[in-house]
Amino acid sequence: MGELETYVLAGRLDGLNASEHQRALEQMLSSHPAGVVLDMTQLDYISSAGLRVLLVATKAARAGGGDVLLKGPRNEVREVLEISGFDKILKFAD
Amino acid sequence: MPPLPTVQTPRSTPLVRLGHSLGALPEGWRLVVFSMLVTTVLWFLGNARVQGEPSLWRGPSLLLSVWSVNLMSVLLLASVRSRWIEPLFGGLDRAVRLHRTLGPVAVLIMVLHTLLYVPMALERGESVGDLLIPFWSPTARNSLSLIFIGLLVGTGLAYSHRMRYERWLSFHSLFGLLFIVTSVHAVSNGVTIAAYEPLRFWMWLLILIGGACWLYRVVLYRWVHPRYPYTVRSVRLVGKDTVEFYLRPQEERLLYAPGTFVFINRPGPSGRDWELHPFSISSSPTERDLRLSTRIVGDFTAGLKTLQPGERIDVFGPFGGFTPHRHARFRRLVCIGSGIGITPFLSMIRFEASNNDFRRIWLWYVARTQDDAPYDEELRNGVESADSWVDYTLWLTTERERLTARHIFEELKEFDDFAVMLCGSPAFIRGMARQFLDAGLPPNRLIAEDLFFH
Repeated sequence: MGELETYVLAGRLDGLNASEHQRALEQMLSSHPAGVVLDMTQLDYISSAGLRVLLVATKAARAGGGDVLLKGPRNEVREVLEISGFDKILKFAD
Repeated sequence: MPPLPTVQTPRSTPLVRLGHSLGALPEGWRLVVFSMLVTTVLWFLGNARVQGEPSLWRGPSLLLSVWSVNLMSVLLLASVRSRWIEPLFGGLDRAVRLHRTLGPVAVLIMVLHTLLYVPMALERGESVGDLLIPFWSPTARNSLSLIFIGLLVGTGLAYSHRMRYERWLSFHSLFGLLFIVTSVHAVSNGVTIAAYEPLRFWMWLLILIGGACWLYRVVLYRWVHPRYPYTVRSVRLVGKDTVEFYLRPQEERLLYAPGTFVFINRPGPSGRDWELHPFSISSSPTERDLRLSTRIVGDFTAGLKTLQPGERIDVFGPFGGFTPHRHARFRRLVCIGSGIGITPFLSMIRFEASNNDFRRIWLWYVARTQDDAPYDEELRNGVESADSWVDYTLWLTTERERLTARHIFEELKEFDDFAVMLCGSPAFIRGMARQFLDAGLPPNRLIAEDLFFH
């Protein structure tokens, strides 16, 4: 696996900005097929629309032989990942 | 289907265990059991002061009479329809269910109390007819036998489902008078009550509470109870037999939690018509207009199609505990709405568009055919913009078999920490609740509303 690019998520990832992040991640994955590290250390809240962004990005990365790794989610975000069961689907960088 | 894991509790004393058992009861039942315990303890203390019991039957008969008065008083409290009192019962829907379940029990106890006087009359060589049949002879105890007959006839009619709802409601409200008459009889003739001041005080307190609740509910409610004036904005027939109408606030806007319900009164052209009818709220609390959805099942709901824009509607509430807001600790919810029982979930899903409270939700909409599921499209759109992660399934019983708890477990796969919210007909709720409880779901994780107020 080649070098992973870092994408920083800050504030909220919800229905208001999900499509914007999705487009940015798609672009990043097309130029870095090895995958992306999602830096979540500054992310306060993630909704189902945000989870869909993670899911779509992960599927796209894995289809190209790469992956998406989650880095440093705060407790609130980690709780959402656990409740939704996404913690079993997605991989963590730490 | 594997059972859910059970929680092991440490060993404790009988008193602590009794406290835990009381605490595990639903709120309304807690109140019933607690007040009955107080009544029973006070009665036994009072009975110890009664000298020379004339008959073996008298003690049990008097105990039954105080139990009945106690039960009726709590049930009248349950019927008040006040937002301040409903938390005592865990929501107005539960209060009404308790009232419906224990009402006949209270009357049965009072009837048993009277029947225990029969062996006493036989012991004394008196006529049983004098005891039970009004005007049986010149020595007949007419007032007692009239109460007895009134109880029997009243109970029979009050639990008859053949009457029109409005007529039934008017008739049922007369039961408060029977409560007052039987209670005053119990207090004025009960030797145990007369012998012990604390018991006398407690019984008068119960009578005062029950009497005041009845007076407020039947006489004062329409004049003094807080209400929200709304006007009709639009009315729409959705599907074969569902009508929904939008109401716009005229003064103060009702604040409510999704999943709750309201009573409405349609004052009519005279402005004085008075009939309260319950409806589930199907709009989101964030919306200006209040949307109510109902199935057309009787004269009143059929008449809703004739609502005119601008017509005044008085809204009372909100009521009920069927809202995820009351159960914040449950982060995974299984929601099942059958037929018109989907309406509370419509409110919840609409609210999800602006709710920063992520949960994992599985929502099932159970209907016979696609035509019987008028809110399918709205729900499909709603879950797309929901903050929570919602898996939505329309379950058509004509295309698939009847939905059971087993289907739910097969879908979820892991079932260690979810709560179940059920809304639908009483038969649907009973069936599904039994299946989930049999599968090991703890009762405190089962939240149900049966939309049944008759």
